[in-house]
Amino acid sequence: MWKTYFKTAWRNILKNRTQAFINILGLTLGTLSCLAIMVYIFSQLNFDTHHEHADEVYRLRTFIGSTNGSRESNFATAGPPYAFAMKDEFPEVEEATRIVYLGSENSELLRPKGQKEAYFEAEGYLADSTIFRIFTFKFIKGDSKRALNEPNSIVISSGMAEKYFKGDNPLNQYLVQGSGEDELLLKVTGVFDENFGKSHLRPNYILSMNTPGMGEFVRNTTDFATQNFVHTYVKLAKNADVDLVRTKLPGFLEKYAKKDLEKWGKSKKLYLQNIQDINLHSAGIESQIGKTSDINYLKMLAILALFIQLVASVNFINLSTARAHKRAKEIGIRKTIGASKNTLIKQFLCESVILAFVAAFISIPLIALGMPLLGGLFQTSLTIDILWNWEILAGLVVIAVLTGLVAGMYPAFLLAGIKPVRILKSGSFSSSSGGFLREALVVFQFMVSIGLIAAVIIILNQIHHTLDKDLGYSKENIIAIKLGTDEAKDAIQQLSNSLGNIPGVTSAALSDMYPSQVRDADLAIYLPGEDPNKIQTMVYNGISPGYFETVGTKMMYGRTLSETDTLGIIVNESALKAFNLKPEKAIGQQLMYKTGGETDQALEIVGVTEDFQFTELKSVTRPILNYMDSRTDWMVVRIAGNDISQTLDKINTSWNDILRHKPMEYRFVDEELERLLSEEKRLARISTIFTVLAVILCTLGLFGLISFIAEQKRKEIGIRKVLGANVPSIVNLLLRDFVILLLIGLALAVPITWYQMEEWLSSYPDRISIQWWTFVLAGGISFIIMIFTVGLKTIRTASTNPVKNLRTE
Amino acid sequence: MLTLDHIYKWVNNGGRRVFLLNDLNLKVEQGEFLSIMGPSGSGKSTLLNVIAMLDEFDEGEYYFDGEAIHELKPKKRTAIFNENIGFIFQAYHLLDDLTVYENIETPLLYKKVNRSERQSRVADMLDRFNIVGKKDLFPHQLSGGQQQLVGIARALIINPKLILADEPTGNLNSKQSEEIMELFAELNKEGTTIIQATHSESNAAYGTRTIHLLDGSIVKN
Repeated sequence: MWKTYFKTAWRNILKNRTQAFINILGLTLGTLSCLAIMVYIFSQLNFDTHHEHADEVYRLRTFIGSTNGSRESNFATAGPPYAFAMKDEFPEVEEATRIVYLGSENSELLRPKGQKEAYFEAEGYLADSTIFRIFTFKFIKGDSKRALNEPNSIVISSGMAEKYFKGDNPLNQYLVQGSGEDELLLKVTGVFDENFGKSHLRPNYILSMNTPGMGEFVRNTTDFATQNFVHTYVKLAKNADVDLVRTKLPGFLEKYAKKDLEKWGKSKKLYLQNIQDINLHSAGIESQIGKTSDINYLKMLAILALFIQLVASVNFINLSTARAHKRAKEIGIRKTIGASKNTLIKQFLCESVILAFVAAFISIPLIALGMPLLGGLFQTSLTIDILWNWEILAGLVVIAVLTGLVAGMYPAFLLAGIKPVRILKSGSFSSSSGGFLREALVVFQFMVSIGLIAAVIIILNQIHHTLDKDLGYSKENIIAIKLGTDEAKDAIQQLSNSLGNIPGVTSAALSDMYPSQVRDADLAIYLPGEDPNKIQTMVYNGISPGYFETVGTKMMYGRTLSETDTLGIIVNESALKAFNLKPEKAIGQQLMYKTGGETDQALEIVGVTEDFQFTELKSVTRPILNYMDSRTDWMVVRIAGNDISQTLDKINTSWNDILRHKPMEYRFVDEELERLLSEEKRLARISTIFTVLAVILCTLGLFGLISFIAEQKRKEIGIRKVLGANVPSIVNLLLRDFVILLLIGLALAVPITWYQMEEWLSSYPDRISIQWWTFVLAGGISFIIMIFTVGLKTIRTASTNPVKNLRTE
Repeated sequence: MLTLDHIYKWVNNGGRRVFLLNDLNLKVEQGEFLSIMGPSGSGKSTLLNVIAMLDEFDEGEYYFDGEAIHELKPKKRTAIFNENIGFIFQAYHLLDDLTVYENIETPLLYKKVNRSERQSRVADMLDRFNIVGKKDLFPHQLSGGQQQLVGIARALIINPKLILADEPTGNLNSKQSEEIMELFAELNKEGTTIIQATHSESNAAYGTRTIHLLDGSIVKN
């Protein structure tokens, strides 16, 4: 019997090609988006499960709040002494390790010993040797148990081994980190396979914590309050109760950190998070290693994909029910030769399920082709292999079956319920049944389209609002050149002179951070003569005298820095507000900063600038102090707007003349600013894609429906024309119903979208408010698309010679 | 075999009751070949549909093989119809998407007859009507007479006790009509009860009995 169902279904699909095409196209778009989201979600699941002790390994997180209980920050890190204090304190903790994340940017200069060619290497970790007892890394060379014991030992990824040592055995060879005075000789003691599976830890190299410098600092820090930058992991005993350990954490803090915290004036809370939860449950956590995903984000994507599939299914339902009369004869015959309602329902469901499967099959090669695009969209690496996971294929089958059933159920019942005698007698069947449902479904489609269009408008508005806001400096045509090495710093004067001779360079200055750079280094400052515990934190930055002129920030009071200023500082307006200082009295005002030593240091304000957005765009402006520095990490260069590439070439040449073998690292500030909004842009892109899909599907569905309605009303139109109706009045007649449906869809879309987008915007400190015209625009766009779809068809129908229509009746 | 007792069927048209069947009484015995004649709109098709249980009536009693049809639920009625009656249409009403073979086979599929029996029964039927060579063709590739042969074969495949034919030769030329009628006569001789609606006296002559309908009533028996 099933064979016959399939056979008839298949022949029917071939027979009604237009309808089948619209249906398959729609269902393919829907299935494709479901599959794409499924692939992405799948790629984000099961992170860090491959570690041998995955179930027992936890990340120690810290919540920091001020003692007056105001804002609380949520960090992925803890202070340096926490890890091993926990191991001492809790019998449940078997192992502990600390990781200092050296950054995702190309932050450390490395080269093989004896070679000049050096590279800035990203994703470096500084870690205790216990890291390999907690996390599983597959060692290709070396012994993971001892690899990081010795000071200055480094373990590198297989990819890095290839890059630095080509075919040679890297084991026991040396790498040189940094340059000049800070040069550090590192011995390669291990190579791990860089295909470590899905993990929140994706190091290129791991440096022993026993190494001098930062490692030494971490090892020697005993303060439980500050320096909250160390990623801390513990491994519990196999049968340990993590909840029990969690309940003991406040007591632990009380015992170890109370004194330090009181001195610091802030409170802390600790939390243990299993490493397998990190990738999906880390939204809003600061100072993470690399990027994490977010379960809510995945859910939202899944819901969007399902909506698209629903919109496609609606097309199927509407086209099938609208065209029921075409099947009526067949149904009548089948019933008179013995078909029961059930067998017919099965037959029709079979058809819709087959269509859904055809769509599923088509979507597989499409997704395979689109994989790089998809990877770019979600900013993760996706390969075709992921498709061959049985979970994905099973998911696809489930989607196809469900879609087939959901889309086919109603039409199947409607069709199978047709009484044979009606058709066999009159040869026609009224399609009025299912009319209300059809209208409701069209409303649903309009609602989804309008809602999505409005959401995209709001997201784009927020992005533009952020990008266009007054930053307090001019972001265009500033490049920041990295002076990461001692050689470069030694050559600063030479570089400045050389750059000064390039015609395209307007001005250049030095700074420890370039505008838009995210840096959380801050100092504890208090006013002299007041309680030293009443501190304000201020971001600090070393600059050269011409800095503000170069970036284009206006001075409000006082003067700029000069070479001889050692304790003179320039602050911004927010700093004055923070300390409640009157601008006219600010110049000459002293500020005390806590050195952590015996005596605190007094600084003197020599100038005040207008507020400027020195860090990323989304945050609000914070107090900052700028001091004189002639050996900074960055050089900020303003270049003329014309011939940018030529100027860049010349800068590059100057650099290479002075600093041979050191790559010049630079970035455009405006590009960096945009990069910091990549998350928002990605959201905008994804929403746009979904919106376009939804609109295409609605258009397809509308086209199918209006074709049908126009055909059905041919006679009515003919009669009206004979009676003297003109084309516009007939178009109006056909369009009116759709306009009403669109307005209902709009009315439903407004509150839902408003609520959802209000939620989304609430996470932005500097946000737009939703404008009523957004919805007018969204509705207008839908209206225009509808007019084009429906209008063209109706005009054609309305223009037909009425005699033709009436004769065929 | 079947008895219709004071059957009324009407539709309401603007407050007036229009009778499609008006106090109709009919008794058909096993082995009869009954012809129903009458002008268009006299109720021939309606009567056939009522007998076939495809259409309902408003008043009266209907017994089929001793079963009181008017007291049965629709599902049971459909079951009796599917078991006992083969229906032949004027417009053949073959399923366009199915081949000759598949058209004839379909009723057996609905009856869940197993594969090998289906094959042998369809083969017999093809053989009997001399259309073995056409079994893989689609309806639109056949002439009207051939299509009607397939329609008859499809009706006969379930071995019905009763065949209802609604102007089976209405779309055919006289030679084809003759062939079909001779086939009917033969079937009837083999024991199948046949009721046909027809416009043609000569076709009616093949029957064992003729009734004339006018405005939903039998005027001549």
